[in-house]
Amino acid sequence: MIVVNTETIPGMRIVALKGMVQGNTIRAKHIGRDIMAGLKNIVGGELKGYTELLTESRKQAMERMLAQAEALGANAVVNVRFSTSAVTQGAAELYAYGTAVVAEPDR
Amino acid sequence: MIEIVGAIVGPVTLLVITLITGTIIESNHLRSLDVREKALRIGVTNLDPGTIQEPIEMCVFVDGQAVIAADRFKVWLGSIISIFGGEIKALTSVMARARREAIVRMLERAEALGADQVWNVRIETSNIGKGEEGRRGGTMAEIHAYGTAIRVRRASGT
Repeated sequence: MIVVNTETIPGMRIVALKGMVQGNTIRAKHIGRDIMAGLKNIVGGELKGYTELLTESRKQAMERMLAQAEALGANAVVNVRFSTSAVTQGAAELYAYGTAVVAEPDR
Repeated sequence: MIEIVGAIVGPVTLLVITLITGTIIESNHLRSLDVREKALRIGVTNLDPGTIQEPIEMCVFVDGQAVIAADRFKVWLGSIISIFGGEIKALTSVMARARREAIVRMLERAEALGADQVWNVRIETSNIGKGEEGRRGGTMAEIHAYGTAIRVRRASGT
């Protein structure tokens, strides 16, 4: 599966449009990470636990989007966009969306 | 009298400690960013790759992210400045660092995949630290940088 955030796929030609696909996930941070984050909020610096958590969650949202694209018979997802929102305290929603297409190599 | 002194010494000590830790962490981070940015040999743009003329060998999605918190001293400084207005330089630098980190990570991943350019870069900022009532919410933001990594086929055939 080809994933790009551009409208076209460089080096490929889009032959069929399969529609919009999306995936989301809502993740809560766990208490251990919260304690470390609380400390880092005082001294400053990168919150590695959160970076990892968001990376994992975003990957999951993307996988869900790709599963939808696969179900539609697409071999690529173009124009992928992300959005993050804080839905409740301590939980974030990661949302990924794009357009599923069928593409073939360009000569 | 002792209580008053105690009530002042506590927060002041915290501010001084976080001023020191924050300064050390920031200067280390900036140094590491300078080194890593210099080591990168990859082109980066936020343009659409439709204008590329050369044949393309590889095209993959890459991203990089960073969650960075400001230290308590910077947050305190920010709250003082926001009474009078004006730029909060200390927090500007935190956001700039987080953004550079996310971009460098994205480019490092693209290089590891063998790409020579990253096109259509988008940078998003999300606020994940807000809404903790009772505590003075720390300033922290997540930066997500993403783009399309491309390798073009060189005319020379190498």
